[in-house]
Amino acid sequence: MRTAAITGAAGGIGSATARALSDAGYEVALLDRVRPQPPEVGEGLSLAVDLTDPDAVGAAFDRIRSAFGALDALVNVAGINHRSPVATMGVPDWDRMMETNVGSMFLTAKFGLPLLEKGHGRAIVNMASVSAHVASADYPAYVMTKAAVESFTTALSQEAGDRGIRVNAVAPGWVNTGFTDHAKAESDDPALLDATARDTHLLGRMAEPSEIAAVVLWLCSGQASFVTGQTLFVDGGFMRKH
Amino acid sequence: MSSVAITGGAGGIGAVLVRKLEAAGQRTISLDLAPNAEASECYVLDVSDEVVVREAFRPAKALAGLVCIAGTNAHGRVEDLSWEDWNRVMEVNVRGAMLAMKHASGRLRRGCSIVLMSSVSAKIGTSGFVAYHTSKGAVLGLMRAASGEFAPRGIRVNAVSPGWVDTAFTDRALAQLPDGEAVRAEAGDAHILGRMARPEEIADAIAFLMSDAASFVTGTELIVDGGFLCKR
Repeated sequence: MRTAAITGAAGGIGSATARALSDAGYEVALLDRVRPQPPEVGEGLSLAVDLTDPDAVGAAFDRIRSAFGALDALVNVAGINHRSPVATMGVPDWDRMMETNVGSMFLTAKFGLPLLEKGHGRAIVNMASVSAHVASADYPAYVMTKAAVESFTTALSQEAGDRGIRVNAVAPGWVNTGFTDHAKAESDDPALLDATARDTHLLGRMAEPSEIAAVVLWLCSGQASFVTGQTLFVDGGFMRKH
Repeated sequence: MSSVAITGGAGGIGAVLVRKLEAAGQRTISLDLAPNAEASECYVLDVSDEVVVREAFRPAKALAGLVCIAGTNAHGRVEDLSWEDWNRVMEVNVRGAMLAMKHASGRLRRGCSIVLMSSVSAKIGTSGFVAYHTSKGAVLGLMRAASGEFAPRGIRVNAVSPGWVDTAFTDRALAQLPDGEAVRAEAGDAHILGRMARPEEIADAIAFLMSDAASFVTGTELIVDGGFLCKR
């Protein structure tokens, strides 16, 4: 039985990823701020964890080790957004973005690598975003954290590669999730955002969360055995159009 | 039944892809200078020749995908590479992919996928292979341009960029070098994963991009290099 830990598993992409991995036969450990909906099948775990608290993350991976013994895949989806230009951004908000979107990946890798080393799949997948490559007056902290995810992925791929573990990132464009709905609700012109969602992708639409999950599943699989250190854009042609 | 057309279908990566797809029940058409008896259909041709490429695609009814792998290499630096050798690499690696897309286009089913073969060579430079590096950069440009053209029909266009792959193509390139065997010995260490790719691993990536799992992937380069670029 393959095993996987997924952070942000209560969210749109995270829950879709948990479902895809579970459907593919993985036992899953679901981690999020609030306790995620437990997996439908198997003996999986579902844990409420503050992913920016080293002790809490350490304890969560102790639970995973007790339950699974090893990990085949670690998928870091957890991420938040904060709308504020740099000029008026509070330092605590800035720090919270960095700690949640990037620091959490550092902590799960720190506590997860020994378990991955004992597994067979040996893959980490981090959630990046096309946002890393787009100027944004509204969401500079998000842009910054997602660029950091790509660099962290590159950096970790060397260290983890020495232990036979592959590390990659997936960079979605817009995805049809509550996360996007929230950004839409904050917008001055939600209708314009809907039109933008269509116009900014070559495929003329946002992604469904399952389409991001399918790529994560592939990167975790043996089919991607020579893919490491990469950020794979799953953006319906957003970058090409931008 | 629709087919997947594969240029370079008799080469190291192409032959493995033909075998993989045929084993999964997918008909393939190989277009290559050499024959491949494992493909359902086989055209022995030069992909840079528009007349023969057009004729090869003419009988095809519906295509479930197009994979452009055919490529060639030439050893030479800017100051000593001949115009003919430079052109040959551009004609096969770039024009060949364009011609295959051009003549496959009308037969490609809605919602299917095109995969072009680039290389990490598009991102780095090594002395003595100026034409190859240039051509693989051009393939990325071709991929990005074509992804916009084919998108209205729901056809996705992506590229796979391998690092070193253990094929006869690599053997031939190394044979051009005075220190080829020393370069081969160091090639594994140039990757985070400590080895060259097996051709199967590149075929797996191509098959993924052609599958429904990649339904939102277009205009993208999938680098399958075992961490080669990261390690540099």
